[in-house]
Amino acid sequence: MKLKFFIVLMFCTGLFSCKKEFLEEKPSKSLLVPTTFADMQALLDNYRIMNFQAPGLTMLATDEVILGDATWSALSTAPQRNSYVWAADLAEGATIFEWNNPYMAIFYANVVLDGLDNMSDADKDSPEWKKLRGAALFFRGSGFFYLSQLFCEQYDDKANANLGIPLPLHPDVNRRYGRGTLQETFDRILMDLNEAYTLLPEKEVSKIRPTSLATAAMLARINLTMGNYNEAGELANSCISKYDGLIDYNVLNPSSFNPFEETLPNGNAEVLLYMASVSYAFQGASTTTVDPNLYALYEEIDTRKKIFFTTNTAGLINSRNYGGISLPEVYLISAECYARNNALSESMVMLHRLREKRYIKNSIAQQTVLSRDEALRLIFIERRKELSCNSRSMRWYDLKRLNKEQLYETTLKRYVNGQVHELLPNDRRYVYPIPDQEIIRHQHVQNQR
Amino acid sequence: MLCLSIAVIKLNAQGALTGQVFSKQTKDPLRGATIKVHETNQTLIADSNGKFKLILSNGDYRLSIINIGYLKKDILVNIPYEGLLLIPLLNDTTLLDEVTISTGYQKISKERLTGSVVRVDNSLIERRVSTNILNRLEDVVPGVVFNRSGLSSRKSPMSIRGQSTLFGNTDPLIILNNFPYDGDINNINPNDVEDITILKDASAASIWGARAGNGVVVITTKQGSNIGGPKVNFSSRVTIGEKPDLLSSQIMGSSDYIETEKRLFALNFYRSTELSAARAPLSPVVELLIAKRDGLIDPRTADEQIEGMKLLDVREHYLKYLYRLPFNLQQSLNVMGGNQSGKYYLSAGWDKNLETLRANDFNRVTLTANNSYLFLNKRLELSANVNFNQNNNVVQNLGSANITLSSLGAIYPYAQLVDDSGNSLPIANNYRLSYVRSAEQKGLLDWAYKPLDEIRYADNTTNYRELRGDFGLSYKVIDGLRAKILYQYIYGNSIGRNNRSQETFFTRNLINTYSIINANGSVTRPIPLGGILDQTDITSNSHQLRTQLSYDKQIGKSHYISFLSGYEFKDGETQSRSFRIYGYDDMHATGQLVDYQKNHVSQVTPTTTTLRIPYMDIMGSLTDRFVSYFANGAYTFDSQYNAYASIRLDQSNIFGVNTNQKGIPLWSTGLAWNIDRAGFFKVREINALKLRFSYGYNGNVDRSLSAYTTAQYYAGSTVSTGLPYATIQNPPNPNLRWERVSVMNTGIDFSLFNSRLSGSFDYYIKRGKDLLGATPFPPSTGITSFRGNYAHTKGKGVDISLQSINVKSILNWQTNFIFSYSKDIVTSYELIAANANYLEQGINGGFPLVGKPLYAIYSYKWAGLDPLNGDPMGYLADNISKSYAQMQTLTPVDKLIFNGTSRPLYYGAVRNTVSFKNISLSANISYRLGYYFRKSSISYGGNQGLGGHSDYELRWKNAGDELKTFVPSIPASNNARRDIFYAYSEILVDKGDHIRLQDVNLSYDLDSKLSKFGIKGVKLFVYIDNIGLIWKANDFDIDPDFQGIPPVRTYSFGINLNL
Repeated sequence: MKLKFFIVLMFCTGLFSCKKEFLEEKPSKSLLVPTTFADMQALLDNYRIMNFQAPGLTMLATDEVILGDATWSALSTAPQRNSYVWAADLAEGATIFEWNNPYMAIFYANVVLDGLDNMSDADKDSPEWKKLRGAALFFRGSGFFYLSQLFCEQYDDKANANLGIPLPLHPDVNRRYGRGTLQETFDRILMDLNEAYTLLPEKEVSKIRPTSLATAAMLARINLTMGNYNEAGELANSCISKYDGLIDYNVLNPSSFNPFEETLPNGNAEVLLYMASVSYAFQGASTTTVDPNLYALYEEIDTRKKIFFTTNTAGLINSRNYGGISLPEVYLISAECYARNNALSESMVMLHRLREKRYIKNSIAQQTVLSRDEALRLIFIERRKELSCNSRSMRWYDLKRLNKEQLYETTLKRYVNGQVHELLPNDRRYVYPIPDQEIIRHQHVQNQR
Repeated sequence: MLCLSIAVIKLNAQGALTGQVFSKQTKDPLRGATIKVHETNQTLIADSNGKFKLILSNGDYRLSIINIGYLKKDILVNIPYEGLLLIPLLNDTTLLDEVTISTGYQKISKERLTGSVVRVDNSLIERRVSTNILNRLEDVVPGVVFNRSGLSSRKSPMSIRGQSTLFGNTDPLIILNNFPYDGDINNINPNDVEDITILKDASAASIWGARAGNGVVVITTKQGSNIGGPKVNFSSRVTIGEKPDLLSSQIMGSSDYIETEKRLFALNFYRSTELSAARAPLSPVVELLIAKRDGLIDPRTADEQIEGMKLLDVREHYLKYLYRLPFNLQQSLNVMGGNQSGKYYLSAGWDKNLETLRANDFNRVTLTANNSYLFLNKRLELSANVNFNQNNNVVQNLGSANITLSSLGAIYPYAQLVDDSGNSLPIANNYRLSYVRSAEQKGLLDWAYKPLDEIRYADNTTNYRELRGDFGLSYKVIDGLRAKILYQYIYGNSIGRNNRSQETFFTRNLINTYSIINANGSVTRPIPLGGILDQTDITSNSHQLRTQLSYDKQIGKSHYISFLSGYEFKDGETQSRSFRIYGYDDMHATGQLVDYQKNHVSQVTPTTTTLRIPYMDIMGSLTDRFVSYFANGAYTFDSQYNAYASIRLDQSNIFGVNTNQKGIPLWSTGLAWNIDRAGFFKVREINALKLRFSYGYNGNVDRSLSAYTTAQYYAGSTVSTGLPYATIQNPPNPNLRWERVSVMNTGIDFSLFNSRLSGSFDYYIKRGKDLLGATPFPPSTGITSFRGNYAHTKGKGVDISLQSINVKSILNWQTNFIFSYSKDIVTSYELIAANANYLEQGINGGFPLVGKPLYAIYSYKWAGLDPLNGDPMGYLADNISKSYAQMQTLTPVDKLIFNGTSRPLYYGAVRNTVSFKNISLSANISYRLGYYFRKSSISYGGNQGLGGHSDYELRWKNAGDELKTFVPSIPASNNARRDIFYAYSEILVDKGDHIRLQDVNLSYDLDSKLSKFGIKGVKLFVYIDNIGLIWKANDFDIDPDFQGIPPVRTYSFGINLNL
């Protein structure tokens, strides 16, 4: 009988013998719930999310590339074809990664910011915490900026009346944000990036991680877009004063497979932050050629003519510029801001500092100008030449920005299948439509095209 | 049950015994029953009243009573015997009596069941021939359907009573003897299976709790028997199939293809490819057109060659060189037996499948030893089962899937695999042949892609071994109380080995892509010469332990109670590792070092592309843990009223502990009334009648979700940064819960007219609660879709099963009829998606819509073709329109046409079995009704429909064609929206209803003729599967379930030998 009692007892006690830890084991070892600094860093180092915010479609919509009729017809997706001819229905229902990619990076940034907020006070005092917060704020602010340049009107004195973009500030995906005004969008962009600027270190181990220098460059670009020339100039100058990494193109080998050192993990001294654009078939297509008008801007003594461009067997000109947020743009911002403030000689000094690294040694002298307008025109040409045809390209931003000044406005023209397409300055089609997927699920006001 | 009172009166040495034999069900006397007295060897026959009279000396006697159609009965009598000895016999075809049902936890007599359960016995399992045991349930069980779209060959796509989850796991839970079996179903040898029980409603399945939401399939393997032996059984089956009917695939033919290529060429369509730096390949026709344009070939010769290609069809080469007649061989041998103190079952099985794709095969060996012993005066039962199986899958031939022209995807239809003298031919793949030739001349490896040589050089096998050990102790503590411990260990190891030697295109191509030709003509190869070996090792270990106490007791005359409780846990771990070796030398098993960190220059596009050598070393570690507590109890009063209740709590490591703690136990309850046992019930025509009712909850699990933000961690060695990084897998969801399914089931089981007609009828209502749903999110949230407990569904249905013995004499004719009706409606789903989502994904259950079935077909209203240019026309706000963009963005979802469900509402089968003497013939006809399908058709895309659907031939060409065809014309310019409108318009949707002659089985029993050779039984059979459609409702003249290539007809021959 004792044995029987023992058996029954054994069965009953067995019910309570299971420990809680047994169920706490992770289902997969590679799964993590982000809580530590290392986890946050790993999320921010997912560069294929964080550093893929720059737009790719815009290059098709500017005067940098030319597609033949057949190439245009054969483009695999509607957004590419329609960008080229500025069609009103841009996406034909397809996904627009220029919208999705920055928002995905913003979501990651918000997850990190929220995780950092939940840390202990002791952790919050550490330099690691500051650096991570700075990096997350940088990616969020820059994401909002890239979005605003495609899906909003150009920033100007009507920013309080124009529509902005949704500004999610929390990782909870169930919250919904309206479009707000363009002013609110730019206020948030500046708030995020200004704080990031104070938190980030000057140097990092990889070009995918934001630094205070990259933030200064980004802030300079944004202030230039907003017409805050004093702020933009100061930021640009402070950046240059801390780091002068311009490469002398005379040392590069134009016949090399790739004249530039790989940016990743930590090459190409001119790049302040690696930032890639959405990739499309047209970028690699052999029949996509550089606009001859752009190519003609480069003189024979300009080393960039051979370094940036190659011709293929069919005589077509392809581009092989490098990408990212880079130092040359900062020089150009500085030069422009001097010129805007009528400091013409400082402007030309700054422009020459860049040009002397681009032209065959001792082949050019510093330019002299008689007017602000003359200076600006030189700078705008240099911007086209230096920042062409890739994710560094500022052409779309410059077209939008400069069309607001009658002196510098541009009308774009396309000839496709015998038809002429025209994009007048300040046309409504300078604002991309918000993709169907967003509009349908979140009743925003659509941009009229 | 029946009075068998024995009065013990001592009189003289001899006495008379009078008895009466009658049917237990009908109470009819059984005339002609044979009564045999073993001790005296007397035999006599009962009279017309079923009565008999015997004169015997005093003492104990054993009588055997035999009557055809009834189970043999042995009884002991003591003479003298006063009064009439009543001998009831059981009908041997009775469905309801004396059958026990295994739930995996316990065996319950079917009389006491309150739930909806179907048992498939051994003869029905053996009627079909298949490698996969679950396939044998198709068209024989009401409520079970095998879905037929997008499924692989050996995985089971079965669903029980529709689908009660949206995006969770849809597989039914498989129980192998006592424990859930998560392994590959192909590891079970169908010849070892004794029976299969399908638990359909909550009362039957909820004992399995959180994983029973999709129903439960309990597979019971053969065990020894306590009476005699050894019994030996040998069976062998050979199956031969036809080749797939590739020529029926609806693809643009060579002539149309070439004409389209010519038109595109004239439009400069190929210019970009021709000039591409990547040297993208072009088809032979385009190459000829280029040569003709450039004056490199005589124009007339070029035209002649092109015309010649119009007569070629690559599918003929596929059939001849890629396919063969499939041949499957299945052999098994088993021995079983035992005595009062133990029993055993030993078996060996061997399968060899030569698949229809040449050079691919599947081999399986299974070995089983089941033993059990009784100790301590039969109070303690010890059982030990060991099962080992090994299967080996060789995949050398990927069929036509890998034969592509990379820039366009699909291969041109006039491709040829061999030349006239039988030599393997190269086809352009990845690069233009001119480039490939020049690269070879510069010193690179042969770069030609010859599809047939690839099959020859391939060496790709997956080897799987599984060892399963079961150990059980069962101890009778006191009368009725039993304590049980069951333990199972499974070790599984799978090794996938793909050795691509330097002869294979994959390896030559990779080596060449990275090769650098130096100025002096030498070649540097960052990827060394030799093969490339990819190997994947997956090892899993799983322990499952269950302890349970059960109490079964008949108390007094009219109370029977049964109670069971216990707990179980599972700890499963899977470790995986895959790696790649470059420069592999198979003879010496050596590899070579490569530089993963360096950026190498691409041989093809050196100016634009740098490459890293693919690093393929990956490790993974998965843990799967469950802890469960369960209890159930049943009470039966007076053998006619049954009540049942069960409860179960599951916890696992999937969601994180907090979520589990919030979990609620799943329960069920049921009632049953055996009306035929009631005192007042005196209908002679009704042999058995039972009413059942049950209600309760099952659950379901989605293993991919967590309540926390989870991220997947990557080492970073493969990316350019070299830094570790993490990707967010799922956004935080603090409200995550288990999915629950409530099921209400009412049923009747009956047996009429001397059991000539029997069957069951079940009606059920299912409600899915807190189902996990993926919802499209606005991309501004950072994600495009999100999973949470969003959805609720409601389903109802009917399962009917009838068995009728139509003729019963020397000729027997039996009909089995099964019918199921199953309808699901989404009752709550918060968010509404774009109408494109419903059109494109509704058919696959991707986007639930409230008030509609989960699997639904929607379409655009069709207004015919434009008589002017053959454009398809639809409606925009009730007006005929061609504004496709507006139709697609502005048509509200409720203005789309809802055609109906894409899964059959009604389905079932009729199986007729006719047997004459030793010959038996049966045929199964299955039907599926009340559903819709969408026909595929031409989509013109950016290349005028090149290589698309053969509807191209029927397209609108001239005014007036709109009266004859619905296929739009080639559009003037690319128009994605126009293609989408046509593809999802109502004109392409039709009824899927059809009736199919599924299979026929003819068998012959030789038993009586061979008994003198010591052979107890021999059965020979022929079985033909997938015979064909008998009727279909659609006007397109296509098989709605197999729009691509229909399943091949197979012929099986088998022998079953009992010794």
